[in-house]
Amino acid sequence: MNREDKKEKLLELSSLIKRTGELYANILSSDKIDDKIEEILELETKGDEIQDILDKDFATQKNIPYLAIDRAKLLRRMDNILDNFRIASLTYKLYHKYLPDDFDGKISVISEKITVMSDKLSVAIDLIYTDFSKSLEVVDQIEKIRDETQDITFDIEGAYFNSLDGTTGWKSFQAVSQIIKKTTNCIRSIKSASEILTLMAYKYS
Amino acid sequence: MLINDSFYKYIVINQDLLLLTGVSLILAIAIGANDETFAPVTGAKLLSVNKAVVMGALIVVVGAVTYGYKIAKEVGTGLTGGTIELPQILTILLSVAILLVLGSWKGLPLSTTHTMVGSTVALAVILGNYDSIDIPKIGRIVISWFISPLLGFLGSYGIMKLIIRFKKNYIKGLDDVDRLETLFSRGLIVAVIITAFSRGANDVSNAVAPLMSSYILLATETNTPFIDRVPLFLAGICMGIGLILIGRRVLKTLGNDVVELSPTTAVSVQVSTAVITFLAASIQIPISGTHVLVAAFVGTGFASGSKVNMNSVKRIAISAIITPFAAALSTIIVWYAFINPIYG
Repeated sequence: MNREDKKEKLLELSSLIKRTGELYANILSSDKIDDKIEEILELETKGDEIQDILDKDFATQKNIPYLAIDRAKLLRRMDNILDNFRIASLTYKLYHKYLPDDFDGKISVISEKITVMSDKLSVAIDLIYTDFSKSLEVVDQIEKIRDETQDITFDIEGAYFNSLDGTTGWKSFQAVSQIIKKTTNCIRSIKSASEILTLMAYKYS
Repeated sequence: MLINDSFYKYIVINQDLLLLTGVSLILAIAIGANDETFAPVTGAKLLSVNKAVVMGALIVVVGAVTYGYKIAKEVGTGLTGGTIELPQILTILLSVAILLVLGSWKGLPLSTTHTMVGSTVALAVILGNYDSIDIPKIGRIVISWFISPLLGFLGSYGIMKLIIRFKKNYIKGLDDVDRLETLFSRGLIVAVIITAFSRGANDVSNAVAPLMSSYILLATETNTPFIDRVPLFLAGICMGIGLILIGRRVLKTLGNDVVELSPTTAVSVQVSTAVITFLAASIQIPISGTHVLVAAFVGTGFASGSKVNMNSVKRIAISAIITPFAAALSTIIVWYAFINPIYG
């Protein structure tokens, strides 16, 4: 595989993340979830296939390890995002019928931010090839959004913990808590992938 | 018939020549074992240590047989004009070989020249030939202890800083990094191949120079012209064997332990070593190529902001200082334990 092919594969993976992010955001604010979950699972499988192809290539002597090692790390973190979206969507499927009625409205801010973060990560990955400083700017924006989501998710979980009845509302709280936890994992994994971009930009520029 | 009868008669008569050839080949193994030429390439992980030692061995053989012939012939025919005798030659060759093998086994790059001088001086003291001790040469070695690391460090530091400045202007994104590192890695491999070739040609003379005049005479007297290339070929192979069997330890110490290298930083190490060695030779400043290379690793590491393993550096520096003394000790042991009882 030549350099351009490898770049194309990595960008293809980043576009899968972008699409998965959109789908997961839709799941959080919609009733028709089965098709979207199905598509997330397909995208995750496709992501695994890309990871396998690139991993095998990185392991060959054709690559300069100095250059391959960071890309291999990035690849892992990107795959981790898809894994987290898969787990989060399955968790949603399992718990969503127990969610409080007003949950969709409260989580909609987070779903928007997930869409933006996935999109920005894809842009940052694209930019890392041509412009380190612009890529870093986008990574900064990802970090800011992540910080905002942290506060929001904490507030949502806290609000339900205080408002739901301890005896009758525990299933609802468990559902809220699990979905927030898994959604936070998705957000954290996007941030974690963007950190590799920061490291690469500092290391190589 | 390629080899005529007089050749066999000559060999039977010249048991001393056979013995000297054997010891020279042991020294060739030791010299190959201490060859650190490929360290920048293995350090940057452009080649595995296994591939590097095999590739290095092949290049060394070619260098030894081709260009090595002229160098060894010049050095060798010059040597026979002196008064040094067989037991003394055997002592020096054996003690140097022992020290180099021990050093290589410990993964330490040692200076062959410093080892040779340490051994020669010790032998002169043992034999009471104080007049033959080359005081200026010893002085040059002492000077080189300071000059070699200093030049190696400063040169590589400067070159690495220039490379960093160039990279800052040229590199905008990962595409540029890929292009530049690929270019540098190819250049580095070519540079190392040339260095290994010239090193093979030069180092082989350290091992076989004492034999050359005898083999040239043998070739003339027995009318077998290719015979004078046989010791070079054998020594080249032995250097290759030394590199493959033991040399990997030195490559690991320099390439992996001292500092983490990329193709760019490895180029800094390689280029600065080549430039400094060449310039120093041109203006006749006494330096050790080995010490310059080690210091170049350190200088490059500091300039690039990489973590330098100072424990490894200290270990190599201490070994550099004690090399001539260890060579002297090795000479005393070889002389009193083996050579003197046999020839004395």
